[in-house]
Amino acid sequence: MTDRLSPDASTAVRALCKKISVAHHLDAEIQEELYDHMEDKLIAYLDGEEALTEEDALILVREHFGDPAAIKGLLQDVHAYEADVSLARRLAAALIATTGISVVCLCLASAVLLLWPPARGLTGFLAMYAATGVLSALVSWLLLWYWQRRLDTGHTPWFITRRPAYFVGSIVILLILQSFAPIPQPHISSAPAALARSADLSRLILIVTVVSPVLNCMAWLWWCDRPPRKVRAVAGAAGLWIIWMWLSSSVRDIRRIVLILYSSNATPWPPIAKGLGFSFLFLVIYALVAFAVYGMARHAAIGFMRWAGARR
Amino acid sequence: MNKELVGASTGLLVLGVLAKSASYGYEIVRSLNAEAEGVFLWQEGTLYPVLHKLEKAKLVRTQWQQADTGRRRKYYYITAEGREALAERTKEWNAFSQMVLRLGEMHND
Repeated sequence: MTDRLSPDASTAVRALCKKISVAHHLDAEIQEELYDHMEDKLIAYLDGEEALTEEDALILVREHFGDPAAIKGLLQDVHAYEADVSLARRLAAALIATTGISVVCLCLASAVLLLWPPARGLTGFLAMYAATGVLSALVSWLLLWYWQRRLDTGHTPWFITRRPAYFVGSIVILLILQSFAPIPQPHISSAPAALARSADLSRLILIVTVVSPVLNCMAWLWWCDRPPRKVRAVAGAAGLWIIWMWLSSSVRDIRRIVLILYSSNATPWPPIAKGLGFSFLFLVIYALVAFAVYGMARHAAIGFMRWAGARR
Repeated sequence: MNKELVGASTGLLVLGVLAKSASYGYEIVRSLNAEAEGVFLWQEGTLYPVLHKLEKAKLVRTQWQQADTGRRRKYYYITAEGREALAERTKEWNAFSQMVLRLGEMHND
């Protein structure tokens, strides 16, 4: 019969008992009693006096096998994501999600401006602006997170099974819808003057203008940054995001240029092209900012998980 | 078995075990699990709040002494008040279980 526990086991059991603290003047005796119980139990297991139930065996299997989340991460690092969802499908899904949400947000914002007169003022317009910008980015992120969760829990979201033609068709339809979606227009003539007077308003617009595309781009980066993690997948996602955002935001201007080129009207088109060039440049800057912020956030998250794991 | 049902009668069960002979924590759990014959399995850590509550109510008393294994253990002894409480609660439990059985049978008819 095992007489006493090894010093290591004894220390581990004592540490476990110490976690059960009741009151300073009572703890020593209570912990001694609990320690005795645990010692008896452990010795009985080692001696075979205590039979293992199915529940006990399950606990042992779980403990010996390791943390399922950690093992999942290790396995995902070994197996290519192509086995799960290809990068192309992920990108196509992100593209459809972002554009679809953007169209819906634009239509909703225009409907609110049309049906609710107070929203036509400068403050209301700014609220609309924030809603169509930051909110659509957050909703896109939420939708991508939901799809990832479905994938993680073994479901088969639609973008795994659909044929490429479906994606192409959906993207073309969404692009057309977006080019005709109403853009919220405030019924105020004094907006530029009001903005010039108020530094706060200008700052708010600047923040929303920068934060919403950065957030949106970060959602794409997160969505495409799947094990085995490759920089080129993330860079590809950022690249496609720039092109798509540029294309979808410029589709009206491009349509105008095409019309000008094929019409007898001699309206000059170079200023429009110049505007398109600037918007592309800004999108590249937003993507770079998103890339940097995402990289830092990911680094911090990994550091935190390691710290939490070490503590456990 | 329904946990609430077991939870409501833990004191009675422990007193029942101690009425047979004085015992310490680990041994009490083993006795209870043996008596239960798989009907329920006691979560061992939850025994001590019950034991300490019974001790505070003076239904049991304790004494540190050497167990058969040679190790020092805190033994729990049922007191006279404990025996009275056990008899009273057993009577209540009997009456209650008779009523449950009667109602159950009526329902089955």
